[in-house]
Amino acid sequence: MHQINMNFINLIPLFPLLGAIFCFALRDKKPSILCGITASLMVFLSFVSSTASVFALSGAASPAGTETVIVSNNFTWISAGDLKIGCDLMFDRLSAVMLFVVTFVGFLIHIYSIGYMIHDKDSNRFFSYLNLFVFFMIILVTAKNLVLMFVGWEGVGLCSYLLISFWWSDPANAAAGRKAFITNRIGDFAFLSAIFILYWLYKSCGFETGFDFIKLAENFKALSAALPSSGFVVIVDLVCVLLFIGASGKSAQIPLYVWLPDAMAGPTPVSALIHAATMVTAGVYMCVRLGFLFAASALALKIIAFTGVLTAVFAAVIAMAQTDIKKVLAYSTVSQLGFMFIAVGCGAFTSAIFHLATHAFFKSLLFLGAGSVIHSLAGEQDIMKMGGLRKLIPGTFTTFFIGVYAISGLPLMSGFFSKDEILLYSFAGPHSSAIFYALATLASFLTSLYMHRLLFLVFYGSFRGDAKKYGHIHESPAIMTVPLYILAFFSIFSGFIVFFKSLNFKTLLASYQSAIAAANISHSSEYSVMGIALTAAFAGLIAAYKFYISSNDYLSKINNAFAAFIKIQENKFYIDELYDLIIISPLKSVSIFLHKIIDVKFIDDYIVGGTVRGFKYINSALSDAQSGRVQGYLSAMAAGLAVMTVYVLYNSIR
Amino acid sequence: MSKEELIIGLYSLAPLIIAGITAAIILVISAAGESRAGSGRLRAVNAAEKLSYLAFTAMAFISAVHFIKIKGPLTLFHNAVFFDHYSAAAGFIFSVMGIFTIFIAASEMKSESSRFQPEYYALLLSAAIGSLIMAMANDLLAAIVGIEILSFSTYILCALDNKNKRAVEGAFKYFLTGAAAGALFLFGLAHIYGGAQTTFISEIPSMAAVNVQGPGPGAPLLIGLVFITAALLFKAAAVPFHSWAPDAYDAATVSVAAFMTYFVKAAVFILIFRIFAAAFIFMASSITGVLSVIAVITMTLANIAALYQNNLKRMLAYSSISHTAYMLIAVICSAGVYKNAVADCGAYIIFYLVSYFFINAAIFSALAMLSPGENRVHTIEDLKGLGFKKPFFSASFSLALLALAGIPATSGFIAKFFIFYNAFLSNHHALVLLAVINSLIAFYYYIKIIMAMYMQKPESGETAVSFGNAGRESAICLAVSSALIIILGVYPEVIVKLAKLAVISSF
Repeated sequence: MHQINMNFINLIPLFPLLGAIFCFALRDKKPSILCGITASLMVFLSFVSSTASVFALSGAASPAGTETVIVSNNFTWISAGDLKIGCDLMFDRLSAVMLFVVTFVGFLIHIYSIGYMIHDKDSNRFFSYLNLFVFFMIILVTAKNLVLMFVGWEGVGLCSYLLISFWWSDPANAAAGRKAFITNRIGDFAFLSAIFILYWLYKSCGFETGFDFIKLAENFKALSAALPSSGFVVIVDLVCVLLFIGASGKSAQIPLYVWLPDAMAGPTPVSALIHAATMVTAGVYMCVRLGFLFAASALALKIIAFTGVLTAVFAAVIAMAQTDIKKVLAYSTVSQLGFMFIAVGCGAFTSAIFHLATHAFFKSLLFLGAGSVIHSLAGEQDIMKMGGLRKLIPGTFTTFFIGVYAISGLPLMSGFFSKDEILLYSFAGPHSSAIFYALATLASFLTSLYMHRLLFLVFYGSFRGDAKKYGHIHESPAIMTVPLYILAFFSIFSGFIVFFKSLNFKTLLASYQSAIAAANISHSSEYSVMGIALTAAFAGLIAAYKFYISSNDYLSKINNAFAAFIKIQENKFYIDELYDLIIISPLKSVSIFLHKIIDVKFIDDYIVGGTVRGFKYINSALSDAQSGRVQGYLSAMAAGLAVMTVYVLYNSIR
Repeated sequence: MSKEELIIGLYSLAPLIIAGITAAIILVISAAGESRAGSGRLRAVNAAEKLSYLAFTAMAFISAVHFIKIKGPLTLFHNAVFFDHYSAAAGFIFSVMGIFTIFIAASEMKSESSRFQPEYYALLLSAAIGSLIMAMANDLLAAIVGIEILSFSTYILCALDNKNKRAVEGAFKYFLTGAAAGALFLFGLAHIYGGAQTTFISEIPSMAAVNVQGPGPGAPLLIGLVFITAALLFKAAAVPFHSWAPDAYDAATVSVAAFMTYFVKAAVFILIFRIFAAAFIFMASSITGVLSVIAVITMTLANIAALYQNNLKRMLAYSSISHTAYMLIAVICSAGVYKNAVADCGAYIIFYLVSYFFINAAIFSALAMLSPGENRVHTIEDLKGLGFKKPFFSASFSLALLALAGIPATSGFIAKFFIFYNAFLSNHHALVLLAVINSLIAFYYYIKIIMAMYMQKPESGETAVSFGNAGRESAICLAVSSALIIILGVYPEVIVKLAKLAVISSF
């Protein structure tokens, strides 16, 4: 790998950090548009610098057959013994894609937020957190080593927590933030364990990597030669599974997805930026970044693909019964993340990143559109109280429509291309499997179905909400709709990137994918997969049309037939209740037991209190001894002296 | 006695001579009729104060010269006294302690209403004479003379406020029990002479080897050692010979209590270490067990007794008893198994004494700044709410208390650390563990004072004490001592090196 040193890339994370500090300094001041503009400008500058870096990267001459990476070796951050970890950044094509998503989508969402948060008294604080999030996200995707990446990983987790519970005065929001944080801890624990094992693994074979991704990848082959193959496979399997558990915490996969729907308690731009477009995809990014490891672990890939496919279907089923507009989108995000993990699990890392990028556009579009709907309905989120908004808020409708079409994978939209890739690899890729393919196609059908259900319930039919509200419905201001148009544009066209041969997107991750034998995929299977995918998407559309627009007969029939199932579905399969029953309640009872019995009774009362009582008792005895009577003093002296003398003499004759 | 011997004898005794002459002059001044009360008293006190400053400064200077100029250990006056680095260092330390004591005493001596007489300074100087003799004594008979000079000066200093019945009572108890201790010393000395046929510290090991038949040191020497140890432990206030301390501290005025905490303690430990390391190290194994038990009992009982003590001077008396135990650990370890044990332990005892001196100088000068009114004792309640009202005072006072507790970055921590570490090297693990637990217990009552200053409000709304006639001298002493607590805590090397030099060249 050819490395060129350019400290220029440090600017990319620097701008949002400055913005965060600036806005945080003004957090107690009267909210003004200044903070919003500064914050947006900083993200924009960061977007400009990352674009400049792209040009620098493509302009750099590299020896044939090698990949060029821009690095910036800043300083040694941790130095412990012979372990040296640098605070270094890198910029390769993978980072470039991620940075484009983070800074560009981030910029649009910042702009949108100016309009969305203008009336909030804490908007300065909001922009400070938002910029801080962008900073940490940039650190995450540009970190040159795993440990620095973990810093970004934790940083975005922190910002997510801060922003979910942004309106913390409502206990429900605070609880949602806490849930996100604690659930992520479980994943982080696995991630950290993986880092430790990785250190031990490289160290035991004498490689000093400092967790540097490039060195890790370069030494990996030598590592497999240095260890007995069976043991090596077990360790790599273990590391990869632990890493995936970490990824599934951040990227909301079964069983750790439960925090993401609750995270919708935060302001809608936050849901769009953090919980749809960027942070939740960090797990996918991490798996791809460490693709050379995962490529060596067939077991981990199977687990990933299986989890992904299960999550994709399961979340889609739940999404069908949700009535909160943001919850539908949240489960949809979980499901789409499942798709990305299917791609990872099938060894199609490029496709995973491709879907990540297109998803970032259409899902943030959908969230911002939902925000616009909520905004125009003055805070109403229940889709059962919406309907017929098509005419009233045409701008939002048009863009939302495009978003729905893109995510459903209808022809020529971005989602069509990226999802098709994933289905293709699950059908004919190097780690493909018929079950994965079948379930992924089912999930694809369900996606189309629940997204159209959402579209029809919100924008078609007649208004079902409070009649008084109807008159007040108005289109959002331009500062909110313009980002929607731009995102809509990318939702349509970002898929076409595959046709631009010069961009070379297919070999984005050549160096990582080379570890996996390229599958020879025939054109016939390509076309048949595409055909089936289209059929599934249209079937979803038609089913939704039948249920929600043409007549309600089907729906009520189905509702009657499967009433029990639908009840379960509406309640999200009682997963939260199940976790509560098997994990949280026992923990709480243990905690109460430890508090009431062990701590208060035993430790506080018996041990601590007993010690205090003991000391008090001895103390009062001593006070009594210090009576002020000289006879007593002298007797004590004499007694002490007698004991001393006897002791010493006895010892000497023994 | 040849002429050279006389000259070097006078040279070595110069600090004692200066102290003696100055004390005599002060006594003459105070004997004059108009010096007893009113402005005459004040004039006499001022004059006596100036004179004793001069004397202590000169003594410090001469001791420093001694320390630098002495080539090696000498014995003078037919072996009666040592003249070595150890005694010179002790002389220097005593002189500086004297100066600080005068500083602390200034506010109680020089106020218009004070009844204290100029003899105070003469007594300080005579106490210094006693301590110097203790530091120099080779003949144990000389040592007991020094001990008694020091003790008698202290008895009188305690009773200085002779209109106050409590003070007289406390001093008298101190005197009675102290007399018993003096008797113990002499009794022990007689046995030692019986066992070893000598009273010279430097000759005891060799004479014992010649005169004692059979295995072990023999009963007379053992009994003698036990009795001498008991007498010295009485002066150092170790349990069960400690009972006088709380009463005497309570009786004494602030500056006298300060004097007793660092001055008497330093003199006694300088002598204990000399006797133990130079004379009885060969029979150390028969006494260290007893000493360890005494150390543990002393620190534990003292700390527990201090826990709920509300009277500050009594609390500090118990605190002082517990610190005796820590220094006792270093004495025990000087008979340790590893190389340089004597040098290290001696140096650590000296460092502990110096550190303890500055800490207590700070604490008692702070107490001297508080004036709770006639015949009233200082209590913790007096300090409530002072924290932010008197920031300099409270911060320095808290610093000194934290140093007593042994918090890092203060000299108290380093001093304790040296001793505990040394004990650990000498395989006294249980002793270290118990000492550390005791430091923890002690932390409670030190922090209680700080809490009272910063976190509690006085019940009446107004702070109970005034700073009305707080002398400038006390404030200076507090500032200097606080600075030295930090300096020694961060940079203890100089003192430790000098102390090691003194011990190595003298033993």
